[in-house]
Amino acid sequence: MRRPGIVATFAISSAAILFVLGIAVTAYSLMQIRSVLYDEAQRRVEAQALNWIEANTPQIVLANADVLSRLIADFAARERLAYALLEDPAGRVLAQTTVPADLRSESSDIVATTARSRVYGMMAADGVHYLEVATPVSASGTGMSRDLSSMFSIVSGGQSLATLRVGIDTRELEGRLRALVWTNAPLYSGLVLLAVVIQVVLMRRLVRPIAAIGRAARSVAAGDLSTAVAPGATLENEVGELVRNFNDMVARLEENRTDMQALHAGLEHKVWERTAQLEALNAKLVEADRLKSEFLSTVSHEFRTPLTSIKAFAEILLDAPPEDRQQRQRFLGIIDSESDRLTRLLSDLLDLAKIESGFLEWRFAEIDVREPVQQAVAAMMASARAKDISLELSAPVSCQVRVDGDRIQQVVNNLLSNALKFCPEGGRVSVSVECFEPRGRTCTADGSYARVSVSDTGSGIPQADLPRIFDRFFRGSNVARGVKGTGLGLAISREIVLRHGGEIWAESEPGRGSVFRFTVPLAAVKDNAATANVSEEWGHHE
Amino acid sequence: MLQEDGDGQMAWPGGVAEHGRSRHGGAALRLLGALRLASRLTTMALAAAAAAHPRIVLVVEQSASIYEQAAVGFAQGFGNTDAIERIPLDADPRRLDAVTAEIRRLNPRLVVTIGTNAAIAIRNKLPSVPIVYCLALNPLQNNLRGADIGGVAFDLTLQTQMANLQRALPNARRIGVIYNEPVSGKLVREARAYLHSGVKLIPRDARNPSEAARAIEELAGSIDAFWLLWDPVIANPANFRLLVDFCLRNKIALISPATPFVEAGALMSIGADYLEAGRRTGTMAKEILSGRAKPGDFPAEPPPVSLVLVNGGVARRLGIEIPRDVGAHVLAAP
Repeated sequence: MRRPGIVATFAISSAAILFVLGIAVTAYSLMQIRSVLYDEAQRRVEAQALNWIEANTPQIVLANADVLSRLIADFAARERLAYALLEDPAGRVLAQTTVPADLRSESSDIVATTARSRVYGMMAADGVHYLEVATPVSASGTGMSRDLSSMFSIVSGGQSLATLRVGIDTRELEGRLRALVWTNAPLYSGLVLLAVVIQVVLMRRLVRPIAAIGRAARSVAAGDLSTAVAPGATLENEVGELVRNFNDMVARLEENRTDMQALHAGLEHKVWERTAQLEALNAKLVEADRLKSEFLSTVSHEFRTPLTSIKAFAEILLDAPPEDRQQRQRFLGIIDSESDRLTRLLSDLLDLAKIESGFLEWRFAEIDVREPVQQAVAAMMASARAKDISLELSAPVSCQVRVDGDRIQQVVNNLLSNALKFCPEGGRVSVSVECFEPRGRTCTADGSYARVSVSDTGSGIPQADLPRIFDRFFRGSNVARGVKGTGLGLAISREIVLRHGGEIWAESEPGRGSVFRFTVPLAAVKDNAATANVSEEWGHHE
Repeated sequence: MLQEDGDGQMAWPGGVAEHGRSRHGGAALRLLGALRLASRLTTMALAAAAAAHPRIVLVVEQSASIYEQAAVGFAQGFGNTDAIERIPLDADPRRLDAVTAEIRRLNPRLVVTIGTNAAIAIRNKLPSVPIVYCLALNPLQNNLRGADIGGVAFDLTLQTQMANLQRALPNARRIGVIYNEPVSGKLVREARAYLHSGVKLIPRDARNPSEAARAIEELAGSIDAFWLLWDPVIANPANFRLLVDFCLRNKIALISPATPFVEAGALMSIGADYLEAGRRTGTMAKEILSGRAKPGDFPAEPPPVSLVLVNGGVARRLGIEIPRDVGAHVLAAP
């Protein structure tokens, strides 16, 4: 069962309170009015009695019954009294009108006492109530002075001369009271109704914003923070304050929610970014793991091949040495060659490991890059002549670089070794050293570098192999062609060049030879005549 | 012996305190202070005890001012007003019960009543309480007698009344009186003994007010003065009005037993001096409380001093001049 709302509760309670209050006030008012009515009646009748007593005291004193009966009958009729009787101090009736049957006092208590009378509540046999005003006929009632009255009182032994008892029918008084009640009851009821209606109207005005707050609170609870409560006419009272506070609270909630959403979106983006980074890193790690496995596999394979040859020929020589000396020499030559190959392989691996792990000791020094190049060319000159290959060096200008000269020579050695290896007899291998300085753009740390190029007139490198020729143990078609090598030379060269801040790359077309180039930064720009002839874009020292 | 000084403090008479201060210095002062303190505490304790249990309850009728005069006289005669608890008594019979209840609660050593009705009522309600009455009319006839009750009557002795009447009205030879024989017959007969020679009492016996009213008119031309008795047949409002009117019309001197009648038109009253009656009652109470007397030792003592009050206006209208040696008080004409 739904409980009544504030307005209904207030209306019901107000009506109840007003009703009870009205009953109480009405009862009290009626008591007061009743008291006033009775008091007024008592005083009126007492005044009438006193007037009658004063006018007729001589007759009362003389106690002439006939005269008194006539007088008292006239008195009762004139004043419209219910009854009147005169009795002496002994209670003997001196004169009376018609008195209601079995008239007796309702209690021994005096209802009221006026200045000169006592009032009793009386009831007749028929149940009619009377208010009886008993006025003593004393000297004081005759208009004489108090002292003189006292003297007569002494003479009479302190008793009054007689007592005039006058009865008022209370039905008239009660009728007036009832009329008053019936007259005022509708008026009071109307006032109560009006008060309740006014209270209901006021309460509705008061409660309306509160109900709006309730609805808005439900909307807010459901997630709608766009709801606001109109303050209405209660703007300046406590309810208005409540409405304003509620609206402020909702606005704050809206702001907080917006901030939270932005924060959430930012967090999601960051998580996405971090996830992507982690995924990329993971891919690299996977690739690194794969390369490591591949490297180990390759290394194992590369080691096994010469070791297998060495072991096989060594076993042959040990178990069944050939009779032929040349054959033995050939077998031993193979063992020696494979041993050399294994030694180179180990040496290259060691170099590569040192370079990659950073344990290689570098001896940087400012030198002319032509020095290590010339030394390498000189070292390979014999091999070139052996294959009838023309080995040429073009290094017209000095290029001062800060490098580890031995390592740069190792790079040139590798490149020349490869070039001589793949260049057919009668071919040509050219080495050039150039010095470049930028104009308007930067290509290295200080914008200048030396470039060493090794070109050959060999069969060239297939385009598919070009991107991988600097990978470790990549030998491409060399394996199929029976070309010897560890597959680590170019990888070591790339690591050395990169460690010097340079670049290394290869250009080749199958059947037209290959060009391997690498660069290293210049130590400083040299101001000499050789640097004057520069191209439009790059200063090219011829 | 200690006596109260002007500031209400107690001091040794004859300047002993001053003398002691000079001779004994601080010790005397301390002794004096202690004595004063003890005296004050004693006084306060006695006052408190008196307030709690007053030695006398004074019941004063409120119906006439003459009783107030007597109450003032009583206080003067008794002296120690702290020992008096005054209770007013009005005409309401229901009030009497409250008054007697209050007297029982206070439990006084003596009850003093002023007014006839007060004496009768208290005597009837508290028969064992010692009572001294004042201004009680016909106390013996009203049964105000016994070992523990006594006091001052309202009415003068018959001899005093007659003597004063004849001194005040030396020319009055025929004095009319209306009475009810069972009530006042003896008194009327005794009064004859106090009349001077040549003065006659003209009595009329009336057994009810109506007869008395008729008797008044019958006295016309046969009397010089009318002596009003404390008799209900004649001393009632209706007949008193007739009497006053009759006396004025017939130039008859109306002599009443109390001053209120003079104020209402009588020529004169020959009655008690109420103040003196109260004083005498006070001395009686003091003697009783001191143990020197008992209430019964003062059975219906007549008022000690008589008072003749003359209505100046009525006297002028009647052409009567009261001899100076009577010492009458004159009520100024309105």
